Amino acid sequence: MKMKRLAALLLAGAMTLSLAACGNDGGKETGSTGGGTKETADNAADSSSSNGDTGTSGGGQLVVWTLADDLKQFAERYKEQTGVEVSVEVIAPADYSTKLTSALGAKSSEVDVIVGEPQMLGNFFEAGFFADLSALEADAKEQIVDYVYEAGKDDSGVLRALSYQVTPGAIIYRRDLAQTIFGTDDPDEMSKKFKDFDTILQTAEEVKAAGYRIFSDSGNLRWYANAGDAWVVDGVLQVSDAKLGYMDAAVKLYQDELVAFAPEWSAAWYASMGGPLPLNAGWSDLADLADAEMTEIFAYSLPSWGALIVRDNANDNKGKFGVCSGPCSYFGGGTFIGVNAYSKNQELAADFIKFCTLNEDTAQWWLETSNGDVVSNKAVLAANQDFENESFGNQKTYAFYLKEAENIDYSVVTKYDDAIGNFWGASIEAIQKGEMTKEEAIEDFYMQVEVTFPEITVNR
Amino acid sequence: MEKKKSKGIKNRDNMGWLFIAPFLIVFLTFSIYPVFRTLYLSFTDYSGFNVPTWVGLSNYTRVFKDKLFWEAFGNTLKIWGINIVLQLGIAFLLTIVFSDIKYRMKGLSVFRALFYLPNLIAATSVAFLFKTLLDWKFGSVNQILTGLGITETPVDWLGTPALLRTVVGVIGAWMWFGNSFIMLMAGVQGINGDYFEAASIDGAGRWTIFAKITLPLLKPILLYVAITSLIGGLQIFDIPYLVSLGNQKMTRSVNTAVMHLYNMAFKNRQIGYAGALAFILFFIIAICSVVVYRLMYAGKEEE
Repeated sequence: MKMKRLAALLLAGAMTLSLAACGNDGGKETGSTGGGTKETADNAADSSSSNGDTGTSGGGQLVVWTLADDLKQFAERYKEQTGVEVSVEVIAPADYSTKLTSALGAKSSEVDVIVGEPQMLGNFFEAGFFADLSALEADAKEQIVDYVYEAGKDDSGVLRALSYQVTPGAIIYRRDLAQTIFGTDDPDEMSKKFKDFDTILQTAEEVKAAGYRIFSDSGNLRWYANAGDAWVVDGVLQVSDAKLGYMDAAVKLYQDELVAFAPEWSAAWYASMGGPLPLNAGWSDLADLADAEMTEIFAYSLPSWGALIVRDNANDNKGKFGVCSGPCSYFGGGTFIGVNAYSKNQELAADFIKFCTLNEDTAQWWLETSNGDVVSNKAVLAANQDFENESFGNQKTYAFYLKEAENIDYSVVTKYDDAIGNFWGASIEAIQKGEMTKEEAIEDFYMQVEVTFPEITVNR
Repeated sequence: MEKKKSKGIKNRDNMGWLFIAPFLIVFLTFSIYPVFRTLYLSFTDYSGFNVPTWVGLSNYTRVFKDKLFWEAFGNTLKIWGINIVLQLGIAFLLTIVFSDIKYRMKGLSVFRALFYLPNLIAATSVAFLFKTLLDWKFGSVNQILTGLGITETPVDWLGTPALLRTVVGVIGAWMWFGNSFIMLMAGVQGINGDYFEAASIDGAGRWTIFAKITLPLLKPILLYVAITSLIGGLQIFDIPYLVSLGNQKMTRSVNTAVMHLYNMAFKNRQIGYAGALAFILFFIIAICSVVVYRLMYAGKEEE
């Protein structure tokens, strides 16, 4: 009996030891990784001290959390010029908000420079994640396009974020098709064809009569539904004539089959930029649609970054595009950068922001490096006004975007735009498919707004 | 000597805490604390970013005016209805077949494993599997249906609200009937075989045996299966969420109560209100469970 107990004890002891051994191994590994990090940190310190004049002894390192690769290039350039090591971590957009919220909710100082897209900024500002950038305000006001400067301010008017880019919207159209259909490809003439929703419907019919389709999908114009005028003014929901006009136009585009029914981001949508596409492709694989009726898309309605997508997928249509104005000026997306309010490196981080957003050399460099991103620096845009863009039929695109960006009225932007815009889109879809009458759909829209945002008054 | 012994016992009493500590700490941190935190937040206007401000019962009164929530609750009931009828129906049928002493079905363990398999596939895979099968243009189901000439035009399974709800209910039943079957079967196997033998010697038919012996003796298990399916069914989230992902209109037609809660918390950032929804849902489920329990034992109490 005693022997048995002893044996059991020994066995148990052996097991515990083996567990401990495992634990040890893990410990060692972590230890070595830690050492690695330290080494790089030491190297960084070395290089910055050898470069000399950074003026940031010891703390010469910044950590950036961002949504896209852009800032990596900025970081490299910043290091070249100042010797400050900037490590950039790109986080998937779907995870970004969560990661930032949990880290900064715990007042973490592990990151120095943080970013946000316009629709996220309101929440981040309210949470106190973004440090005060008032020191940069005078420069920002002078150098940067107005709407960017406005979007970077919190509710009480304190500047907290800035962007190196602007993202004004445009109608990107096919010059060759414009010649065939309308006999002209002049951007000013085309802008007249897209000046309001009624005119767009007429244009759509002309385009269809010529055997093409005006847009890829009936939702393409949605950008304009949120801009133009505000959804909510003083806590009251506003359904303006322009918004109803958009609704009618979207329904007609759908019901009269004036569009090609290739949703944005679908394979057919990408294909349409470089050549003909099958009608009614939806989200299907193009290989499945070999025998479908083909058409071509006349125009895309997208922010400036969308024009680059069109350009990069143009294939056979390279150089055949042009850009013109739609019903109103708006912006969509864009990366805004700011300083983590809990960072221990706030001064250096603010200097990095200044370098990225308020430096003409950087702006000119980025405009060239990114091959077409529209920068937020007014002087640099003005300096590039006469640049003739080959991809857009030698159009002076920077001059166009500067004008659009300056026309953007930031006061119509509310924190509800995304959600309310989606409800409006869903109601439009219900009318398009004949599931609801216009009255029912609008009533349903009112109900959704009321239920989701009890603080908004709905006047029927 | 006496004293020493009692002290030793006392010490051992305290040792108990040490042994349950790992569980207790995890349970308190990850189960109890979140529940009370949610309860507290449900009385505030917490958005995930701000400092929570006390708003009293307004989140709770808002739930009763929230038409979308009740629409979602209606959807949940519709999906659950389809689900539960099929799930328990199939499980029952299989139980009858496998428990019948005259059929002498072989390979129970093999079938049990096979029936349970769908439950082992991750919900995401199941959702995408069915999305592919039921695709409007190129899905296998529509190709078979049109190929056999059963329908002329392909059925838009995922684009028609009522059909999509049915599909979600059927997927749920397919995933869970094996689970119910295992439990019912275990219940049947727990019944003393002598009863069946005696009944069949007395000349009772298959249905009499089932109705007079199997069913009454299966009641406790049946109750357990019914209540767990009810709780699970009213909390349904993953399949409807994944099947309708990226299609706003369809999301609404299979918008379940928990999906609504999720949207409120993480899309509209109204975490306080979502907390209130969670507690209302908890009370609804609790009441339903009590009702089911009462209904099943109503007869017994009268006796």
